[in-house]
Amino acid sequence: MICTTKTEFLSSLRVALENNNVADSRDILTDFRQHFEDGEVAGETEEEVCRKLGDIDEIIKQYISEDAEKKANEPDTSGFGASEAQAAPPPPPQYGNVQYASPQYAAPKSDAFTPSAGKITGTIILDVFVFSWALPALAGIIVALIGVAVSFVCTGLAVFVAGALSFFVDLSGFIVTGFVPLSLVFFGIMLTALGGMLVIASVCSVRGFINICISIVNMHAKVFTGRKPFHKIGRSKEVE
Amino acid sequence: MQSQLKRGTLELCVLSLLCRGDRYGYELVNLISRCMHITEGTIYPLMKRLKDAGTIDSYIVESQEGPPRKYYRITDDGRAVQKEQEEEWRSFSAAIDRILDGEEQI
Repeated sequence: MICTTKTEFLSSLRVALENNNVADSRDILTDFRQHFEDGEVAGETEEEVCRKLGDIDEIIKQYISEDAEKKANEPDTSGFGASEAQAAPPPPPQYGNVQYASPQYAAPKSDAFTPSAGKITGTIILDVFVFSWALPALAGIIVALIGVAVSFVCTGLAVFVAGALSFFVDLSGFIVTGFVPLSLVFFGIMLTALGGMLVIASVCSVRGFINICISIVNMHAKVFTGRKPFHKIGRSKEVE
Repeated sequence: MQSQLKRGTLELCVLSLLCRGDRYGYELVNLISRCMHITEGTIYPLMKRLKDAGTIDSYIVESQEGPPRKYYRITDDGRAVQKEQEEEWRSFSAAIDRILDGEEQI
């Protein structure tokens, strides 16, 4: 199959990798995503990159034959008569140095990821500040903002309706202000509009807050495992 | 025929380029594409195979913006393999040249 966009290519590739049970499919997808990003930086269109990468089936075929080769070679690690063993001694068990899915994988011996003590200490100190003060304070402000936004909208609508109604019905028993009906209507509209802006601001803040949380989680994951597990909201999320 | 030849020698190309310095995937692909036409997607399966065989290695380089980038580096084993393959290739291509040039009797 031939694709023309990055999203299409990556999702087709993912499906094909999963269908064929290719090992380390996550790393493979990262490689190709990186390739697209580098292509973009170099000024290539997604279509060009796709065309040059070629047929996904062809790529998959190579991964499959490679997996099969690996399996075929594995029993030979005991020593004798491995066809390629003389040329290239079997690798130590470090399939994918770059795959540090869990902290245990980050074996300090290989030059894969090793957590640094300094970074961990720094993160802990930062955490004390973030969790005891910054995050709760931010959450409080956002909740307050939402509250204010909702009350502005509700009050605005109520004033508007009251103003409109008072053209037809005598509401003097309910309304104590000396407003003329027409000014009440406009006052209602103004309040609702202000509320609307605050609602938009709240939505943006909630979004920002979620992204901050994701960053915090990613930062921790990165300190310990060297990889960022989550994408922020509104960023490329075609593959996870 | 042509693609068979390429597939067999792509490994030598990659190893030789990495002997001269660490590279990331896109960079490698471009360096090779400049000299010959390849199906670029097949480079990544090759890199994985080389890595599993221990001839190359990879590491992540953080970048200020954008996701981290994976660099490939040749190992000592890889250097040995490269040397062996290079000699093999040179004697092979010299032999073919002799036949193509009609020098087989000399």
